[in-house]
Amino acid sequence: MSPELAGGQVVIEILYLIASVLFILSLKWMSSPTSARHGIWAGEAGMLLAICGTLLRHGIIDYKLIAIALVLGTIIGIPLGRVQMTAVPQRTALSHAFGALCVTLVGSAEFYLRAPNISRFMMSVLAIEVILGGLTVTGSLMAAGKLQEILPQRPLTYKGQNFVNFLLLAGAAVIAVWLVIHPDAKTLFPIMILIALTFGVLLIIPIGGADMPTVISLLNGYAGLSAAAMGFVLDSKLLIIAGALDGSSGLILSIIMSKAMNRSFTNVLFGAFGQVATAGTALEEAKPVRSAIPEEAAAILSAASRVIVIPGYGMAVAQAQHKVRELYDTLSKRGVDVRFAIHPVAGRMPGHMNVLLAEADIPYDRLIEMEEINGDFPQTDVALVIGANDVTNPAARSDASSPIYGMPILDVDKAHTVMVIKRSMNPGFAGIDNPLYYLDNTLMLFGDAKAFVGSIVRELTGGHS
Amino acid sequence: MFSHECGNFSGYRHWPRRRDDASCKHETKQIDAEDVLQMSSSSSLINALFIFVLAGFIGFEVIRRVSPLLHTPLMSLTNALDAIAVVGAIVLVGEHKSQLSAIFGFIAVVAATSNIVGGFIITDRMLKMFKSSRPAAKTVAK
Repeated sequence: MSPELAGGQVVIEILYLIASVLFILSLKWMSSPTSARHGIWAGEAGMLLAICGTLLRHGIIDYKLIAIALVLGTIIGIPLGRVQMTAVPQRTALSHAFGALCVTLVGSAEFYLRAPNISRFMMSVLAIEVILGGLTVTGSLMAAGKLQEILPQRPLTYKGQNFVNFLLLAGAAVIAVWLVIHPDAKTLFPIMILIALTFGVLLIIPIGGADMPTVISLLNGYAGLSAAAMGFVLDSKLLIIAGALDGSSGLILSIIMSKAMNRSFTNVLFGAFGQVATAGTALEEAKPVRSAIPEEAAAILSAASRVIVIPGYGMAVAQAQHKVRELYDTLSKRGVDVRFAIHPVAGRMPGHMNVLLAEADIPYDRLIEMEEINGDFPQTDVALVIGANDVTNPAARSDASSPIYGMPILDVDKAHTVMVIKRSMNPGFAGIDNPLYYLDNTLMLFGDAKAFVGSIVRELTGGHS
Repeated sequence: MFSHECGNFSGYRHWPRRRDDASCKHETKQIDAEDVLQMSSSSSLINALFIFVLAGFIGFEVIRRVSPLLHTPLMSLTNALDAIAVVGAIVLVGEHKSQLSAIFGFIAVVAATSNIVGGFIITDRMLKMFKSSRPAAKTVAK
């Protein structure tokens, strides 16, 4: 607090400065898979410096308790780092909750240590910190529960939902303002936190699986912003920088995700999710579809020279990525050009499909983004859709009454032949019928993604070896 | 209890460690304390805002360039970096100013550390999986 920093403090501040630079470099190196692993080392080094710097601080007397907490955290952290790749979305949501929990607890402790000696500005940031932190804790836990399927994945909506949510948020804001003016009203503080926690739960209740990529990004952003607010409270530049980096990362990802779903950013910010009405579905009388068996699918694929695979959440659920790799290997050996078209919101979190396919050892230069690959569909012999639905729905281009009208999609229908692996004709989560399935050039391959791809591979290899 | 209630005043620049609410008779000291509290926090507010806005700008520019391939590892990495909040928690535990702050701090250190450790481990595991099909990279990878 004093303008003249003591020698030891200068050292600590310089350590924090180096840590900040390393954090920025760490994110910068994430720009390409070739340099990305340097990014981790930079991040780890920065973290180590920052923690060591903090331990050098003057007022710290109780090292034993710190050591116990660090060890305990490490023990919990290791299994969290070793989860299956298919569990990454829920793990990520869980870690948002942990991060926000830390911020909320520190904020609360600071309040009780300082109140009522809190300046108005400090109290305002503190309120932002704990409200954002609190709603992120429960919101992320709910999201993790839905992704882990502990909680029902279907969106739960009720009348006046937005009104109730708004009322709660307004209530929290009113208490916050009251505390800014009367910081001695300590009893109001836990009520404010309770409201924030409740709000987090209610915010995620109406969210369906398809909205998860946006929601996870948004929670990431909230966690970052609350950490930045904590930096303001503690007057820690390092924390402000790390929080701002995390916050902007979360917000950028939310913007990308919301664009990929044709939602405005404000729509996302205010959490108006899950409002894809079930209207417009009115399952018309069963239209004729053409279906095919694995033998036929294998024959078509072996005659093709260009194939694009479109993976979706269904592939993740069926754990089909390794079978898909076998298909990729088999076809590539025959000289077929196989690529993968990745829609930004395919799966349950940003980049979900890329991680699963990379796990199955598919080279990353075969994974192509939507904008880059969309022009290639007309020259493609076979588009093989595995567990993706809405992101291939041509109604988004043509049918103004469709709830997903305007959403950018993969132009799968322009390929010479479209093959869709799907369990049944039931519409997906959003309950939107997909006209793709009724096109003349579409073949439906009914069955479990893993089993079906497996039998195609067997056909392809069995015939020739 | 705020400065404007008792009129304007400014003068001494010492940081009040404690403020006795009952002694409203000592108007000068009272006002001074509040003023300094507000003033010094507003100048550090400006500093902090500068840092926040500039860091946000850097973050925006850097993260915009991250390949969409790596959006999942990006999220787990920023999660790990965000757990730098552990420094605030460590101070709470280490200074042990009150029972409550030590308990909250302890839980916070555990939560943040598990994020740091878990976040770095899983990011590393994910990035190890991304391999190129180009021959040079293939020989290295396999």
